[in-house]
Amino acid sequence: MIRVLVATVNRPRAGRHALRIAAAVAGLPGDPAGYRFPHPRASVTHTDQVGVAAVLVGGPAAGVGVDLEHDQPVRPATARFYLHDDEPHDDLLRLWTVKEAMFKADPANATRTLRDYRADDPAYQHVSARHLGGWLTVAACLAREPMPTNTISFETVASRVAGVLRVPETDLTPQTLIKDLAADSFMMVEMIVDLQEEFDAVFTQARLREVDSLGELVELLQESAA
Amino acid sequence: MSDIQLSENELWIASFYRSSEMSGAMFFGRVARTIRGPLQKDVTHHFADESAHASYWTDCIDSLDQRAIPMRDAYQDRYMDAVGVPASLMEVMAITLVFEKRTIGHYNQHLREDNTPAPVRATIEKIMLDERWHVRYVREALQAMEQRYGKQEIEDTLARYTAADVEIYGKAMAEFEERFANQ
Repeated sequence: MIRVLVATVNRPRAGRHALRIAAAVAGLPGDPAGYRFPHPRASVTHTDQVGVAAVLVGGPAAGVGVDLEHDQPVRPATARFYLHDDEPHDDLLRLWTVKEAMFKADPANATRTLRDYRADDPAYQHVSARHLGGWLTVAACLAREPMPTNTISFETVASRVAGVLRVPETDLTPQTLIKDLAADSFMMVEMIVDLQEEFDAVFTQARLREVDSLGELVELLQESAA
Repeated sequence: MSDIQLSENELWIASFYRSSEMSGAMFFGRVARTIRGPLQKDVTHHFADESAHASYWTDCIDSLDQRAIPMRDAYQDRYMDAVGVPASLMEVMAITLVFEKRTIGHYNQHLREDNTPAPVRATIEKIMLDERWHVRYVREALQAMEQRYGKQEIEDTLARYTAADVEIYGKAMAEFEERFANQ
């Protein structure tokens, strides 16, 4: 059975303070500055009124997440950013906290968004409660199958590039210069966004500027993937 | 035959708007083709809007018994030249937000010109309805991307593109000053 200890401090943005208390009770290191998130046993959330910490004290969980949102209007139009069409849309504020808590509980959340999680995912347990004039949700990640990631190799990247830009794959080598690949900047945007989406990678324009060849782009994708 | 005639400068400006809208459609067509997540619907809608706007300008010019001047130049090209190729969906949305806000500002400025021909005015007003939605959905999309890219990274990117926009717009206006002054 998963057991989570929750501490609340009624002071603005006091998440770290709440963590210090919860960690002390659970026998974890007490210095909040020493925690990096996602943490396998701890999670914090805060608002401008309160701070909350959740600490895992028992059970086979790979991570824990907590989120608190005070009552506020939620625009239905924004639901598409965290809910799938076939998920319940009955209480958007609560569902937002569910997705946030699941995200925080996921030890490998670096390149994921809230929509990558489903509220009914059997790999998670979550509990929501009315608390402090809002919704408080605690989630635990029980186990998680690795996200399906495509193998990033020169061959897989070259195949993608060839398909997007309609160039013969056999013409592509690790030494092929990226600037020679796309006929215009719009094609370049399509190619780069497609590669990031396909391989679940995140990198910036500044990082891309350091890359000249297709081989270097493959390395950048490998470094930046989930 | 129309009672209104576009001057040479007015025709050039309407043609430039048309070219920029077409360029926007081609850009968003590229992005819409590859995007997979929840933004797919909005970006595809955006692509369709830009195409429709190009059509509105073509219709506007046609209603005045003239033909758009074929041109390769478009405002978007100047952005890409100045700030480089956006390398992620977040950067695509950030550059779009800056660009759309600039477009609204510029079209508003054009509407303030007393001598703007009625068909041109009507075309801008029709387009502006869509432009406001573009700003809204892109802003929401960027907020939703904070978890993935980081709020600070998004703010830095917007600041970088906004600074570039001021320079690009200033240069473009200096270049087209005569045309805008002599509509």
